[in-house]
Amino acid sequence: MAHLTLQSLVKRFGAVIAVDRVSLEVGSGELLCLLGPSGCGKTTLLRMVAGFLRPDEGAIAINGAPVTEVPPEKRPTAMVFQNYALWPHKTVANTVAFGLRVRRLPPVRIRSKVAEMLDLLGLTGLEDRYPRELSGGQQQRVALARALAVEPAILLLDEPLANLDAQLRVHMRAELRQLQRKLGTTMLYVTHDQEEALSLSDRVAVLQQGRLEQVGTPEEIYRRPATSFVAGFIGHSNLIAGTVAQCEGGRLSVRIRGGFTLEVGSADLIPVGSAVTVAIRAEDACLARQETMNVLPGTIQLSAFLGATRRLTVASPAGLLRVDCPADLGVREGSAVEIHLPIDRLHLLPGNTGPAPEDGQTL
Amino acid sequence: MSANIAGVAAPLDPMTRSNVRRSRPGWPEVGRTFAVAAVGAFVFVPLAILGLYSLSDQWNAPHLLPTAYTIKWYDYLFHYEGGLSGVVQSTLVAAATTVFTMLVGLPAAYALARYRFRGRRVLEMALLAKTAIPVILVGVGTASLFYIWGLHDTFVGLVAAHSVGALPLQVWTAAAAFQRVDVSGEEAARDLGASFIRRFVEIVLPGALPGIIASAILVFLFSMDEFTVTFFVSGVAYTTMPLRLYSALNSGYIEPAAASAMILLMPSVLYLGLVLRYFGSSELRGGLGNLG
Repeated sequence: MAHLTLQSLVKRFGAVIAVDRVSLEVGSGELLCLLGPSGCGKTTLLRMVAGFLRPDEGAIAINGAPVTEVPPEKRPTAMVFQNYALWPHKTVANTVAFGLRVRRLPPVRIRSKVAEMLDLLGLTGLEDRYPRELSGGQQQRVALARALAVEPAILLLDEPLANLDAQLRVHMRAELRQLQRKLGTTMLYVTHDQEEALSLSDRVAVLQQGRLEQVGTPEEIYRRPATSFVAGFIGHSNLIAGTVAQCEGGRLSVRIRGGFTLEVGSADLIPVGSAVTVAIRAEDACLARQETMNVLPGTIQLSAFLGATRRLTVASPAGLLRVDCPADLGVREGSAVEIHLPIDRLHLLPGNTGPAPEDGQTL
Repeated sequence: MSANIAGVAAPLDPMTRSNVRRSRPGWPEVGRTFAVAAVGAFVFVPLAILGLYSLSDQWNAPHLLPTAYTIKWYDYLFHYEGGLSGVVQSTLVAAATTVFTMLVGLPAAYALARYRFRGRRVLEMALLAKTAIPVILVGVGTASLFYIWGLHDTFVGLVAAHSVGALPLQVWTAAAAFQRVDVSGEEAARDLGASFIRRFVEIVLPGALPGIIASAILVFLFSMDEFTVTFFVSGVAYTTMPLRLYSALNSGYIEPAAASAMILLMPSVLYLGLVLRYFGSSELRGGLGNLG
C-alpha cells in the first residue's frame, strides 16, 4: 500500500501540450479513475507514473519518495496494458512467474505465489496454456495476475476492460472492484467510460485537453460538476448559457435567451452581468404541472423510448433540452409542452463558453 | 401445366447454375495456370538440363539424353589440387560472413525497429545506397582499396566484401522481425523489473527468432552466390564456387560448371524448404518496405 503524489506534471509532444500542470494525490489503498475523452492526456499521465515517459516539468513521488528520475524497471509500479501485452511464447504460469523470477525469489516461493495468483483470479488449471489459447477475459486476468504477483505499491491500469465485450466488461468491473477491496492495492485506472469510472472508483479525476477539470467522489462529480465540461461529459446534462440579472439572498436570476429568466439557488455572490451556465440533468427536468417559476415553453421534437424512461428532446427558447419522463407517459412528437426546471436541481457553472445548448446535443 | 413446369424448374435451378460455373473456368484461372506453367518451364527446364549435364559423361546429338553418366565432375569440385576445394572455401567464407553480419547487423536492426535516434536517416540512406549503386562499381572500388590495404585475395578481405554486400539485406529483414514483436510486451517486461538484456533474451528474441534465422540464411546464400565483387577482390588463393563455375565455363567445360551450379543450388533449396516448412513466406517478404 502506498500513496502517489503528482506535482504539476507537464508533458509536451512538440507543440502539443498533452498534460498541462496536473497535480493529484492518490491515497493509500484508493482506486482513482482518470476519466476523459480520448486524447485528453490520461494515458500519457499514466505512462509518466509508470516511467515510460519523462515529464517535462513537475515531480512524481511514491510514499513521499521522488521517482521522477527512476526508470520503469526500478519503480514499485506495475501496469496492466490495454492490449494485455501478453507474451505469445510464454505459458500462463511462466507469464505470472516472470516478475518474481526477475526479483530472484526462490523457486518454491515463486511456485506458491503463482498458484496463489492463479487461484485469486480463477485461472487455476490454465497454467500451461499460451495466450492464443485463452479467451479475452482470461487474457485480461492473466495480465492482472502478472502485475499483481509482484505486489506493486501502485497498480496502473490502462483501459483494461476496453477490449472486452459489453457483458464481460460489466462482470470484470465488479470483480476488479472486489479484488481491489480485498487486496487494498492503490490503483490508478484510466478509462474513457464514465459508467466504469463512476461504478468502480473511490474518486474520479476528470481530464480534458491535458488539464484536470475536477477531482471528487463519483457522487460529487455527478451531482456537483465543477465545470461545464464535466457537466456535459458525465451523464446527460442540459447546459443553458445566460447572464446574471439579479443576485440577492442566496438566489440568482439568470437571464437566458428568448427573454426568459431562471431562478437558481447559489451560496456565492456573483456580480450582476457575469456570464454563467445553468446546468440541469435530463432526469431532473420534468414536464410542468402547476409550477409557474422556471418554466419554459417548448415543442417536443423527439420522443425516445429507453425502457425505464422516455427521453424527450424539446425545442425551447434556451435551445434543445433533454427531458426524461416516465416511459408510459403519452406524449406526441410535435406537441407543445411546458418544461419545469426545479430550482433545487439547477446547478450554476462559471462562464458560458461551454457548448451552447443547440450545438451537438443529441440523445 | 405452367405451374407444374415452374415447380420442377425452381429446385433444379441452383444446381444447374453451379454446374455451369464449374464446367467453364474463368479467364483468370486459365491465366493463372498458364503463368504457373510458364514459370515452371523457365525455372525448371534449364535446371533439369544443368542437372543432366553435371552427371553426363557422354552427351552428343542427336541423343535426347546423355548416353553415359558419371559423378567425376562433382569429384573434381570437391578435390582441388591447388588447396581447399571451392565448396569448402565458399562455405567457410559464407559462414564467417554470416557471423560477422549478424554481430554488426542485429544491433542496427533493433535500433532501426525501435528507436528514433540521431543519424537514423543516415543509416537508412547508407543501407539503401548500397543497393542502389551498381555492384560492379563497388567491386572496382573495393578492389583498389584492398590492394592498398593488402586485403586482396585474403580470407578477411572476402568476408569483409561479402559482409558489406549482405548487411542491407540482413538489417532490413531482421529489423522487420524486431518490429513485429509487440512493443508493449517489451514494456510489460520492463515494468516488472527486467533489465535490457533480460528483456531482449526472454521477450524480444523468441518473437523475432524466425525472422532473424531467415536473415542469417539469406546472408549465407548471398555470400555463397556473390560473384561480381568476389571477382575483383579474389585471385588465386581464394576462389569461391561461382568464380570456379565461371572459369570452368570460360574454358569450355560445361559439365563441371553445371556441377558447380547444382551445388550452389543446394543451400537455396534447403532454405526454401525451411521457409515453407516453418516460417510462412511473410518472414521472407519481411525486409521489403514496411520500415521508415
